[in-house]
Amino acid sequence: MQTWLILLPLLIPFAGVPLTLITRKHLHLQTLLAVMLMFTSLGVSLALMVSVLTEGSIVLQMGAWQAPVGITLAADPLGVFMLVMSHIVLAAGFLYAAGSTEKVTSYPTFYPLFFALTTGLSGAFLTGDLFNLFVFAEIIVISGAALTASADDKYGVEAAYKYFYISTLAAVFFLLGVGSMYISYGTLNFADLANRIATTPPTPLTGAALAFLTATFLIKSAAVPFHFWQPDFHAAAPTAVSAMLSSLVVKVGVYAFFRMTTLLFPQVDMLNTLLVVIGVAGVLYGGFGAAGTHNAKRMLAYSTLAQIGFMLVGIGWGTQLSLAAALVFTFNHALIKSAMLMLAGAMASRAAVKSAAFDVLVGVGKYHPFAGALFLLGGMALAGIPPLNGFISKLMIFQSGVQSANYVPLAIIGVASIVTVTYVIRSFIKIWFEPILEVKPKQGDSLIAPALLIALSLALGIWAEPLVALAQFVARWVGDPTAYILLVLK
Amino acid sequence: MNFLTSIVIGVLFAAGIFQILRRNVIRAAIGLILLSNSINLFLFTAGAYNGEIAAYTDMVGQYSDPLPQALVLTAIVISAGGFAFVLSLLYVVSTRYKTSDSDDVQGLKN
Amino acid sequence: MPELLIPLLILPIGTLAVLVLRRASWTNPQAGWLFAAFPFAAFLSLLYSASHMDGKALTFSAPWIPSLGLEFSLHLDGLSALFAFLITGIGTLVVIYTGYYFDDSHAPEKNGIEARFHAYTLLFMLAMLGMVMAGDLITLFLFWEGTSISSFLLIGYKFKDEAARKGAFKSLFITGGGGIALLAGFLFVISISNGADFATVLASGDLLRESPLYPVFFTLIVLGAFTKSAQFPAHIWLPEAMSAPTPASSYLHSATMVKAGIYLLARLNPALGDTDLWFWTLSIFGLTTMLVGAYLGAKQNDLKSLLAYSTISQLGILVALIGQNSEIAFKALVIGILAHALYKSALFMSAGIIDHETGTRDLRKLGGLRTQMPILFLIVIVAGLSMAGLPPLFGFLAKETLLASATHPSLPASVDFIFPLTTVLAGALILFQAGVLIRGVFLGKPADPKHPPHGHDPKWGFWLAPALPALLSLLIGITPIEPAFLANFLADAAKAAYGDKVKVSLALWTGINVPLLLSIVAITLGSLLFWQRDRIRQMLVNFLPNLTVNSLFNGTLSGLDSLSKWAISFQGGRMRVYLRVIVISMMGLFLLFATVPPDDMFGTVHWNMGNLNPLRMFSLLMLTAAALATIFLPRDLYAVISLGVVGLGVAVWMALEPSPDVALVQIVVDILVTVVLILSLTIIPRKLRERASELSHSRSGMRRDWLIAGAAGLVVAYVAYAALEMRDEPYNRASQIAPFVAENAKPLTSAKDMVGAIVVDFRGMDTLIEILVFGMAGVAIYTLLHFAERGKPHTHKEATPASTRQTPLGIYGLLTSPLMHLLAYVMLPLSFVVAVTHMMYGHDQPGDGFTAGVIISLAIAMWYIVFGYNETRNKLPWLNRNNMVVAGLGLALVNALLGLTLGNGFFAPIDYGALLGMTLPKGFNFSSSFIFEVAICVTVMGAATLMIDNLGHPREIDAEMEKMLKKTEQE
Repeated sequence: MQTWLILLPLLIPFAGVPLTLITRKHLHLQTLLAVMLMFTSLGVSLALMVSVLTEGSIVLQMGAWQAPVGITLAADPLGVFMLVMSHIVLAAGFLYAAGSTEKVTSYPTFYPLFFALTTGLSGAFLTGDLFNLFVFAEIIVISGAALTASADDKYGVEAAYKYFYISTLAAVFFLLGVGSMYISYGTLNFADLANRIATTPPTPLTGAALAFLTATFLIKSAAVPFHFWQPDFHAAAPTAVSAMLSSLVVKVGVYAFFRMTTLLFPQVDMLNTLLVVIGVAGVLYGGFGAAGTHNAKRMLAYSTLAQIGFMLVGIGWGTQLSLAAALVFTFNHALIKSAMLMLAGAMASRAAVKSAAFDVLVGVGKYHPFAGALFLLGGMALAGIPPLNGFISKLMIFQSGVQSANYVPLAIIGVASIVTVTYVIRSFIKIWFEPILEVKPKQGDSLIAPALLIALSLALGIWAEPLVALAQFVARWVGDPTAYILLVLK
Repeated sequence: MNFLTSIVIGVLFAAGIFQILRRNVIRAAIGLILLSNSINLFLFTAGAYNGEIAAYTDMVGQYSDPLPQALVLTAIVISAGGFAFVLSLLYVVSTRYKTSDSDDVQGLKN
Repeated sequence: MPELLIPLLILPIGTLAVLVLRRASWTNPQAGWLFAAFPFAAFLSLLYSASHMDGKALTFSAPWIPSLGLEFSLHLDGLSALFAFLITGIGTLVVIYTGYYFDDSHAPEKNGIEARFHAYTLLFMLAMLGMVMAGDLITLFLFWEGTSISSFLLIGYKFKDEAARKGAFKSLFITGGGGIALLAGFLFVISISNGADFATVLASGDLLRESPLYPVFFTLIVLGAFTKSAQFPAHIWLPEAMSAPTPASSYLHSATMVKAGIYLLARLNPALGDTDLWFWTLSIFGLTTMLVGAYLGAKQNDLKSLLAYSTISQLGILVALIGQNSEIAFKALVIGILAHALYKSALFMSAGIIDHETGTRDLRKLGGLRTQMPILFLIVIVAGLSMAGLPPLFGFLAKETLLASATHPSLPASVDFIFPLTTVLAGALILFQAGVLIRGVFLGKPADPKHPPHGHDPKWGFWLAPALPALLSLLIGITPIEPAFLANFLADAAKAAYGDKVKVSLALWTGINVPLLLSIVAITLGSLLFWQRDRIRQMLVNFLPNLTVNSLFNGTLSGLDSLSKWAISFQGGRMRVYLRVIVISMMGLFLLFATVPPDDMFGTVHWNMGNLNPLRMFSLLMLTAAALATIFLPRDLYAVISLGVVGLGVAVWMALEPSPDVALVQIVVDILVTVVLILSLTIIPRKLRERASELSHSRSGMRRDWLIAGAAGLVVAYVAYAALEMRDEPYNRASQIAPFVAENAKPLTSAKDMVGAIVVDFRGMDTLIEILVFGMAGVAIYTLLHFAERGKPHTHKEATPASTRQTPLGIYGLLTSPLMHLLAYVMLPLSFVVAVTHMMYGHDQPGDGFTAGVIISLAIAMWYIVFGYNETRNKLPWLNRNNMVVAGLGLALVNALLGLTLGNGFFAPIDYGALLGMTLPKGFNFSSSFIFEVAICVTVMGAATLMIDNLGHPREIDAEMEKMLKKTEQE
């Protein structure tokens, strides 16, 4: 039973690939199938989380090979936290794609690629093996790039091209890191690695491994100065996809840093310091970039840079509260950012020419007050204004900063969050307030998915206890690496 | 030997990096393969023992560590798939932007 | 007590009601009266709560986020009650007033009632009420931000005109910024006093004052309060907020929004006050604001702006009062708050009526309306004189007490002169403003006789709203017997703010004393100014500097913008720059971490040059030469070929390791890569390729790239060297994976080939995802070239191969000889045989499903070349690439799951041959791993064919390209 629980969130999306590919000639059937499969997967992952929280973490050794020989799937609190987050957003993404008017969503191979992306995300959060993580990261890269390249937007292919080159660098660094790790410690299993790193003296390559893995995950999480692919890539992708990319795919890197700072290299303080520095830089750069750019989706992509910065800062501070804060931030940002991108895309699909550039979107909101309300709420969440869930994230980050007496970074990110208010409100005013230049009402993408996400954000802002409690539970769990090691190695 | 090997791996890597920094998109593509070759070589040689025999259970002697070989196998396949894809991207870019100079490919900026 | 929730629940219900009834077919006034029921109900319930408060605070609290120790708590004491009554009381009047204000054509594009405005107003009221009733800092902050947002909506209500948008953004930017500072300040306070609720915070006053962080959180909190309460220099948002509809302005700027900061400071005074920092900051900013407001107000021509500035100066007075630490000051505070709320709301609403009836609020157009609007005249007289601080009105009392506190001995001697002076001056200026207001609108002749303003008294409901507060400020003043309940009530409020008992009396006549004299001075001075009003105003307008600090705000914004421009300029669009930066940063990280752990890498490595091996030397040499050749060979084709040589070199090296399996795969992949590369060479138009090969790089650019590449190469070479040295070191011998595999490969997975065993059994998961990657790569190329690029969407049938429109011959229509045909015919079945043997015996010897798949697809590629795509399709009807991918992935999945059901775990090996008791050729096991190999083979075959096919023949696009290029060149 538990075996199935941990396998299905991975296998349902995997099975989704051939299933939607074989039904590729019947669009409606394919779409229906895809959405149903995705929601089933969401249900299963929720069940998995419940089971993990109540009966403890689940470990599955592939092919029953005892770790570290085979590959381990480990559903520990951190893993399922990220898994559930990703599946909620992914379900919304599939829903949006089903109601989307973009050509790309009607290509027969759209859903197979989307499911490949989903598989990659689930696997990345569940696997307990370094090289296996690399493989999952690769499937994310190729499916994401494929989806972006085939966007209606003629620039999609350029974005994918650049993304692919930079990701190749990431893959190269990753393999260098994996190699150095295996040569130093003769294993690839997270738990085994953590155990050996902690118990055996460092080897000549430990530092190299650390450096390469850090570089890899900084690229994956699009942290300054490894971020160049991100604004192009997230803005040019088809809306349904870009929502996933900007809210989930970068989180793989964040997740990896959770593992690195708490499990693999808990004793390397320089890593934490680095994360704080890079995080603060990201908060500033992303904020200003978002305020400066000319396109709603790009603005949101830049703002993701900033938000990732907040998470990295939280991880870097490394106190239990700050880790919990980073987790809450991660979860809330996934909901908010995907909803906002969907709204921006939906507005673009209603604009005269399909584009998210501000000078095209001016006044498009006239006939869509509901979307406007959603966008304002989402913007408040992004800027951390109550009663939205974004406020909880900001509150916890600030609180942990005050508590751990990191005043300088705190001051900087505080100032930066004023910038957030600025660009959010400016964009809102542009799209919904500014006088209308002959805008006609026009059918566009369905608003169901973003509405659901915003509703969830509102709910998690007003009744934040469950999420916060969960995050603190996870933070306690990652605070004690031995638990994970014992769990996997038995 | 180790010294020479590492030098060659380094040269391959350097050539790869240099190539992906070319303006000619074809050369840039070549760079990707050079990079993956050098990394595979690194994983392979560095990860394995100095084996005298291939890693077969029915042979006697010092075999190489099979795991890195398996990893390399996977890495090779993945990079091949990715490479084929990037070629298609490259083709579409060149048709849409009417160029095969990567510096002219800047429709997305700021 | 839960009863405190009632008012906070009534208002949102009201909002909902408004939204539900927004299509209702009432006139606006009716709607106004109806919706006014909600704030009035709130008012009554507050009255009930306050009635049994008798000096003690009522509190209510419920857990909100227990795991952060946060609760949602409410709290009603004198101070809260004072504000709560103003908010709900004046709120009721405002809602009624709103109905009439939007009555008739003045409200553009009316459809039904002005529901949006009512909804915003009630939301704002809710935020405001919650703010003053909050029982802890976090709850207070929740509602505090609520006021910012809802006021943003109110100010931006008429978003069609630019002023409204600008004003709304400005107010939100300033107050929102203050909000963030406030939150930080609160968090400091909370962490120091271990608790957010006021009981705790106020109790730990000494702790806070002595904390070394006191200046920090004091500054943060004061920032929040000052921005909200429009203290100089943050006052600039308030006048622009006048672009809101008048009901909103009269509400925001008399009783509510701007008083939020006052409330906060008063509330926290017992905890944070009574320090020099507190006194000086509040006094200096307060007095400055007071003067600036009074002075700027005196030169306005727009009624609303004039009132707005006088509000600013009032706020300055209140802030200065909180700064002082004397009983009398807080008496003056509460009286001031009440008096100001009453007359200011009355005046604002009257201004709205004037605007509404005459169509202008410009003093230069108005005048002489007393005959036309007698009732309004009366109202404005009363309220205006109260503002001016003339007896017998409530405002007089306010000014008296203010002057009393300004002359109070508790002030430090250094300022005992400045305080009275500034107060008197401001008093005079405000009187002057009041005079100008009354005179300019009602008395005298119309300012420009050609078009005298037309107006008449509005409907009674319309003037009722301003009449009531005006009446009150008269009654409180003249009522002979002092209203004890009010006095006690205000005393309670003052006590809460002062932290100690405050005696409040409302008697106007307190005998001849300093304040009275000062007040007479102020009045005479004001009257003098008023007598010379025209000259004064001229002087103010012409000579004195224009004291607006908007430049500060604009500077901030433009600074932000230029920073943004600078930031996005990094995203320059050139991929090569991005790659450079990333590679360099990676090396930076390497240098950073190379010293972690402290005993650095160089430590244990021996630089021996042992065991040279000629064959390996040769392969290495070949590698290096070919790699450099890819750089230096002029023509792309040659570069590609030498790239192939590099791959072969790698394969040779691998074969020498010895590791036949990897070498084999490396070879086939190398071939595949070379093929697709050559294909893409053929499909990219020749012109483009020629241009590209002529591209030149600047010398410096080349040098830089060489430098970067060289450095990166050095890093990798170094790591590789360390790793190679470590092969003989005792480091990774701890690995028990290899020994385990060596032992168990044969018995458990019936594989002699350890690598094969790892690939399909021990690490089958990797391989499963690997073929997913490869398959998706094929599908991706198919998607991109078939649908995205050719823009052939929607039609959900396989796009027909382009070559239907082309010669049936192969790539570039090469003519192919019969010999080639024969060869092709032979190759395909041959490749199948090879593949099958690979899969059957791959477990004991080199070779696996992947190799098999690539070999077959290469054979098919040959068919494509020889017969052309269409022909091939006809000759090989089974060749449906997508379904192959489907079949492969499906089979792999099923196989893995069978392991879970039949075997002892997901991906567990099963020997079906033994299970079904089949007799099989020696050395071949019909096992799960065999099925997996087949699955791999099928997937790879499908994907590889997709790649070769799609990359091979998008030729018609090629043709179009050539045409287009010709065109572009002609132009």
